[in-house]
Amino acid sequence: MAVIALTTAIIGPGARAQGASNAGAQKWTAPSGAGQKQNPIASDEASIESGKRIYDRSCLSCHGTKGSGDGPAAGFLERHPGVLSDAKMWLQTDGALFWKITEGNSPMPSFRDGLSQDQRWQVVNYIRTLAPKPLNDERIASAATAAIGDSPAGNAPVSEEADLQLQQLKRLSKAAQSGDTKMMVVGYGTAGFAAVRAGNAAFQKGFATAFNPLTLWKLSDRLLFEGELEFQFEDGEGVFNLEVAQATYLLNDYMALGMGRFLNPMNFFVERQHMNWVNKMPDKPLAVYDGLLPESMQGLQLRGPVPVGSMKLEYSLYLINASALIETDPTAFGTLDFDNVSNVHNNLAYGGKVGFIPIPEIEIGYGAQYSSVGPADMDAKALLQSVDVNYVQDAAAILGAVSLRGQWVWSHIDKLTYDPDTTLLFGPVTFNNDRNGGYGQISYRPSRLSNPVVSAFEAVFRYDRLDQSKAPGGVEEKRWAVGLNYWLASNVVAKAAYERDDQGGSKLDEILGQFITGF
Amino acid sequence: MKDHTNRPLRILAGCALSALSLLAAGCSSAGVQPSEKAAGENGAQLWGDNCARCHNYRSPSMYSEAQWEIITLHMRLRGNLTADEHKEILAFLKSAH
Repeated sequence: MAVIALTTAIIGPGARAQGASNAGAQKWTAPSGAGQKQNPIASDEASIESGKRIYDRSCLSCHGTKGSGDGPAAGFLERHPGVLSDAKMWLQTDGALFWKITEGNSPMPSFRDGLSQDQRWQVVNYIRTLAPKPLNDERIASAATAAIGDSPAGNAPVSEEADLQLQQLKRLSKAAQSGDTKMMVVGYGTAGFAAVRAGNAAFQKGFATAFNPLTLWKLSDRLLFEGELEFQFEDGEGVFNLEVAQATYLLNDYMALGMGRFLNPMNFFVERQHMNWVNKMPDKPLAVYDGLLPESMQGLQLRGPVPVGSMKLEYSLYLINASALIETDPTAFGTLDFDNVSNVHNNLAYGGKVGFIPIPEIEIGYGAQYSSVGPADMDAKALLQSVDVNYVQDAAAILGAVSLRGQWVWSHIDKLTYDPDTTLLFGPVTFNNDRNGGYGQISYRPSRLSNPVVSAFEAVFRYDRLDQSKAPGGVEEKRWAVGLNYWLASNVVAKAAYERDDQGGSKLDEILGQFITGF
Repeated sequence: MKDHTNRPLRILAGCALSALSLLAAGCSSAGVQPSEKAAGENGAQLWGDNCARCHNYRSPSMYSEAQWEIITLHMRLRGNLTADEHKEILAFLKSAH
C-alpha cells in the first residue's frame, strides 16, 4: 500500500502536469499562405446549420457541445482540446481555422480526407458562432492577418501539391512503424497487495504479481488470431493459463465465426470487464468470476452485431465442451469443473447471449447455457443463466464520468443423489442444486475537473454475493467493498480497496492494493 | 422440471432467430445502401459512443496506424461492432496521429 501510494504521489501529478506543460509550450499557428485563404462559403443560416451537423459528429466528442474543450473524450487525451468558445478565436482568420481542421495536430485528427473542402468551411462558419465576437472588427481583422505569419513555415507560399506529397510521406513513414507485420502484443501487468484477517486475528498479508500478454495476429482483413496467456504464482509455484487461443473469421458484416478457446460469451464481466486495467476493483466479483459460470471455453462460436435503426442488438451462439459435474469428490459434490479441457464426461453444451444497446450509454444482456454435465450413467442437466445491465455516462453536468454495472447469474443442476451406495463414505446425499449470485457496482471519476490530480481519482462502490447455501456445506457469502483508484493514464492505474466479507457468518476484513500497467 | 429449465433456452433461441432473420434482411438490403458519409466523418462520435461503454478511451496517438488496424479488428470482434463502426473508428484513429 505504502509503495503504491508513494508511487502515485511521485509519478501521478508529474505525469499529468508534463502533458499539460507540453500543450502550453507548442503554439500552433497556420502558415501565412493558408491563413490568407478567403472563405468561399457565405456564413449564412444554411452553412452554419450544416457546419453544426458535422461538428456534432466529428468535433463534439473532444471540443464539447459549446466548444469549451470539454467533450466526453477530452479528459483522456494527452493534450487538452482547443477552447473554441474563447473570444481569442477571432484573432485567427477563417483560412487559419480551415488549415487547422485540414491538417490536424495530434491528438486532433486531420480532416483532409474525412471532410470535403466545403464541409470544412461550413465547420469554420459554425465554430465562429461559438465564440463571442469582440466589438472592434477592424483591429481584430488586422491582428488576425498579422498572427498567421508567426510560424517559420508561414513565410513561404504554400504549394498544395508539395503539401499533399508531404502528407503522403508522413502517412507512409507511420505505416512502416512497429506493428506493420500485422502482429502485436498487448495486455497488462499486475502488482498486487492483500491483507486479510478473520475476526480479530492478525492480518495475513503479502504481495502478488501477474503478467497477461495478449498476442493479436491479423492475418487478413477477415481473419484474426488472438492468444492470451496468464502467468502468475499459486501456492508458491509458477502457473500459467491459456485464457484465449482463438481464430476468428468474419463471414460477413454481421457474422463472425470463432474457433478454439475463447472467453465465455454469455458472461459479460468475463468477456468485457475482467481485464485488470478495465475492472475498477482490485479483485473480481463473486459468482460471475471463478464462481458459477465458466471463464474460458473450448469450441465454436458465431457472433455479431445487428443494427436496428439507431439501436443495436448483438448476439452470440456457441457449442463447447460441457462443464463436468463433480460427483466423486465429497468436498465439491454438485459443483462444476469449468476447466474441462479433456471433456471427461463426453458432453457438449450449447448456449448464447443476446445484448441490446438502445442508446450508446446502455447495454442490457441475457445469456444461457444448457447441457448434460454428468457421466454417462447419470442423467444430470445443467442450466446456467446470466443477466447484465450496464450504464455509463460522461457529462459536463456531473463534471465527469459515472458507471453503473450489475450482473446476476443462476446455476441450476438437476436434483441428484451423490454417493448413493456410500462407497465414498459420505452419502447418500440428495439436494436441490440451485446456486445464484452476482454484483452491483457504481463508480465516479471527476474527469472533467481541470485540476489534474483530482480529476485522476475515481471512487468505486461494489456489493457482491454468492449463495450456495442449498448445497451440503455451502454458505451464503455477502461482501461489500469501497475502492479508490488513481489513473496515471487511460491504461495505468493504482487501486486501493477495503472489503468486508461475510462468509455464512464468519467475517473477514480485507485491504487490497493493485497497480496495473496496460500496454 | 424439464419445461422449467428449457424455457430460457427457448427465449434465447427465439431472440437468436429474430436476430438472424434481421441479419438476413440486413444482408439483402446492404448492397442498396451506399455509404453517404466519407470515412472518418462519424469516427470521432462512434469512437466516443462505443469504446467508453467498456473501458477508458485510448488516445489515437498511443498506437501506430498499423497497430490500430490490428486492435480495431480485435475490438470489432469482441465488442460486436458493425462494419461501418469499425471502418469509421479506424479512419478516425488513423487520421488522429
